[in-house]
Amino acid sequence: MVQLTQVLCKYMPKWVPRFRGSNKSFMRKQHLLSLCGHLYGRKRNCFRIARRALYRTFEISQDKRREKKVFFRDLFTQRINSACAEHDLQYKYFITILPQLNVELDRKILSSLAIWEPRTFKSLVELVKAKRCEEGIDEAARNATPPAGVITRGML
Amino acid sequence: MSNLTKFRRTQQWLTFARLWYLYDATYQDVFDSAIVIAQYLRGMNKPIYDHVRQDVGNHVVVINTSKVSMPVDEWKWRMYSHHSRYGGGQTWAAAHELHSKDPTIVLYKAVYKEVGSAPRAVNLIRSPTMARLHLFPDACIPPEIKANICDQIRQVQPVLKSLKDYSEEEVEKFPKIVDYPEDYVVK
Repeated sequence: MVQLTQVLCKYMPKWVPRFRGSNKSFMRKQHLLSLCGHLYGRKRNCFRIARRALYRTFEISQDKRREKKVFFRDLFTQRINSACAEHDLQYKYFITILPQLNVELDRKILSSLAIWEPRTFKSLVELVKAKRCEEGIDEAARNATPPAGVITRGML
Repeated sequence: MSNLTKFRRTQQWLTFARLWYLYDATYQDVFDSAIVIAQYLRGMNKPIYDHVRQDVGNHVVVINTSKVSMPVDEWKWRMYSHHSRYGGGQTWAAAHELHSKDPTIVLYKAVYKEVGSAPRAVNLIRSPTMARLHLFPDACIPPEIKANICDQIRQVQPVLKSLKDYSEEEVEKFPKIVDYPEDYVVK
């Protein structure tokens, strides 16, 4: 017989026989303590301390879920930044000019392209360089020679 | 045994290999070049950079550290402290004094600060990262280190020529605005 936790019992189908203890409050406490197994000292044994510690872990994990999004965005930005530097292009030009060319890829995809498909990424970089030369935004862009092999709309 | 082919295995070795970069510190700003060197030491120039799960850092060989430069009067005003751990044992030295004793230590301290600027209370990556920095006061590199170098880092500012670097002919050819009068006494 497989013993399921109370959480799993709750979401099992109705026809599965459920464990029904006579002492309801004891079982409720046991359920909470089962989630505190990873904590240190009396936080995992004593109910009153465990409840406080458990609610605190919930708060921390909620914060971390928010931070996770920022963390990964920063990591992807850093990876694209280094990949652009390999091709001698600044990140700010790359990320602003791509949507103007209707290339609507996000940072996650761009960074994975830089790692796994470096030649695809290089083609995107050359596209951006050609666009910069064509527009001539600043002096550096006007003096730069456009990369070979990129066909723009004016050429056709 | 893994299912990697020989090609894929070699590709992985090449991807995660530590590269050796050369940096010429002649007439370069200490603090600006420390930022760039720290990025290469931590592997931030690679698209696979990840500061939590893996260490993809490189080696950096810096030559001519005795010729580094600092902005305006920074050599005079920047103080470095040292504590001997006895009472009243704290001493201070200006940057130019420290540089005259050891021509590599000013750049070492600048890079040490930049490498440790990760948002961690105890930075465990710092000491192994700094062990990958090789500083030399002049252009002489030991052959075992020289054999590993595969690329170089772009300098942060152009190397300017001083008056000593020009030959006498070039100095004489340079167009004069005025001639000194005959009774003028040059100090």
